[in-house]
Amino acid sequence: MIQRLLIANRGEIAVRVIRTCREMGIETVAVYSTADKENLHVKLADHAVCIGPPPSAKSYLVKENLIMAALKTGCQAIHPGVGFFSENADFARAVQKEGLIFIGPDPDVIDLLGDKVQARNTAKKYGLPITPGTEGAVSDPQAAIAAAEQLGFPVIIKAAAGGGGKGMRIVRSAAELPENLAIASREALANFADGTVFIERYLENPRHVELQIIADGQGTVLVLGERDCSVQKRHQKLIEESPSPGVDDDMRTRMAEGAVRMFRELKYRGAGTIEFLVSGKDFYFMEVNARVQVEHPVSEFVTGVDIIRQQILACTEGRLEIDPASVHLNGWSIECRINALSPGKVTRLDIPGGPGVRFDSFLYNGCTVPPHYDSMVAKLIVHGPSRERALARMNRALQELVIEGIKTNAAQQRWIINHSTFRSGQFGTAYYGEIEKEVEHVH
Amino acid sequence: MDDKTLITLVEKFGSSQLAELELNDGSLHLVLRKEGAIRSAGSAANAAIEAGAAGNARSVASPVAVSGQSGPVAAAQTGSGHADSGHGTSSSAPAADHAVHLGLPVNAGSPAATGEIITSPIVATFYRSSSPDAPLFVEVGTKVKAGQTLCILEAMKMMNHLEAEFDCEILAVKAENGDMVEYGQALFEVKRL
Repeated sequence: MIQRLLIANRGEIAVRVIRTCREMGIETVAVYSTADKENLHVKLADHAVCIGPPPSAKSYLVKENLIMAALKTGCQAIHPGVGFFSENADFARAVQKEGLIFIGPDPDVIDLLGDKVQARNTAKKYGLPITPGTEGAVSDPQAAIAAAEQLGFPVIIKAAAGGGGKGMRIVRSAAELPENLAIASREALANFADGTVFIERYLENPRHVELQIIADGQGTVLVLGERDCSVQKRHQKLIEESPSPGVDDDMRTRMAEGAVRMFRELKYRGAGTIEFLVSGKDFYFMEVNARVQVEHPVSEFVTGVDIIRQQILACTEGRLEIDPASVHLNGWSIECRINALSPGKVTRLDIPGGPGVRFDSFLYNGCTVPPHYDSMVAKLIVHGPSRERALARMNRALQELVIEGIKTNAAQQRWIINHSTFRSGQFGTAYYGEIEKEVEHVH
Repeated sequence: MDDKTLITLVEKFGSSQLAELELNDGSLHLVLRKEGAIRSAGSAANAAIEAGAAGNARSVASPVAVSGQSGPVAAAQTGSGHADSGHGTSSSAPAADHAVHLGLPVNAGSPAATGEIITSPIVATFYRSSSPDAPLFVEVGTKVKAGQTLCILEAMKMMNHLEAEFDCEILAVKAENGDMVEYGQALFEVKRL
């Protein structure tokens, strides 16, 4: 067992990792920018090192300061959290070069999965269905039109190196294609320093379903159920649940078989997520996130597995504590992300409690939410025996939650989970767009 | 350094918020300074470390200044950085040759303080001399000239000289030799001369 670990992140995920480390007897080193000096992760960690001024590019994204902080404080490993360097192969290599353990998969695996064209080809190789699309990069408008007509409109142009919706264009006719191809390529170049784009058939209102993977790096791969993350505001997930109302046992089995084959062949290590678009009875591979994800607690609730603990064991000792035969999905779990709509000082905080309620957050009474970082300040997660009872519990927990001093989306989340479409379970990624105007009037 | 590199450097410096940039690659010593620039607050840069540690031994990082922060100011300067050269993991004997020079991390002290505080622009190990046997760069009472080395900050096997930005007298040394220091940590309390 390692003795000390540095968390190269901030806020809620840093707090989450510290909590598990403390249970495992691993000392933690937090890093912080000058804006985060009073952040909860700094208070909870055994040690803390200031790594720079508020902008992430000068603090949480300065590799040398993070690695120096780990070396100088005697850490054996670095946990990258989510975002920042969590899927950065160069950072992982730099960490390993200094003799430290990177809590994540091998840098070459990160590279392979980070390239969407390569990732699609890899998924296909292991028998996972992919959205019909071009085999490789597209740059010539005539070739693009020919490809799109064969796929059938609408199509979506995507950046090979992309993510977060940037460099994506939906095209509904051949006439719109050449211009959008050029714009998408320019957007991709501007955002990812790589203008390579490809074309796929566009699914109008699919569900976003992902599998939670945990693997030991030696070929043992476990699937901890699926998560449905279809409630998204411009590709930003807002509400997640496990299991998915749109996935039956047959689809779950087919998804898991392909995913296990793929992750086993990659000798994948640690936590990862494989994302699919689900349309009726069909599902298509979308991408892999080679890290732990924000919404991992819903999988923890339905499987009883501490994913961060297993991730650390897999990456530091090459082992897992879970017996594959013992993984069962129990009940239903739902997560609402609580986002700050404005920065500021929290003047009152009432945290929901009681059975089946979990509140993961870096907030405390009197803390400041700085304006420099991600808007998510908390995750409210509930567990119940059924979807209906989990929703009743979420409704109750959101009523208990009081955050004053900053504006949040808590009331909007409560509106959504009580909306008839959400209650029906029949919705896709276009759902939020349909209710957005109504949601934004909720305070 | 060829003319093109020099012109690029001057242009980048001109559009940056840095007050001063000093470059010494062994064959050339270049100092760029803006007249009347405010140099005690308002920007921060530690690009020298980023570029140096990335193995670009002779490249000059284009310093990216950040406005509106109250952090320390650091002019980024690279000499011939030694990211991969055999200093090994030694933490006891910082070599003074081929050093990267960092300038002016200065914070105005609180109004009640008697002097100004010089802080660390990076996470590093703090050394008060160039080697365990060498004399200390400065002691309490030492009067230093602008540009004089105050200490060495070792990070990623690179020895970064921290230089005084202005003539001053050392009132107090705030860190112990061999300590890990973090960004913004007080290293010296000084009185401007």
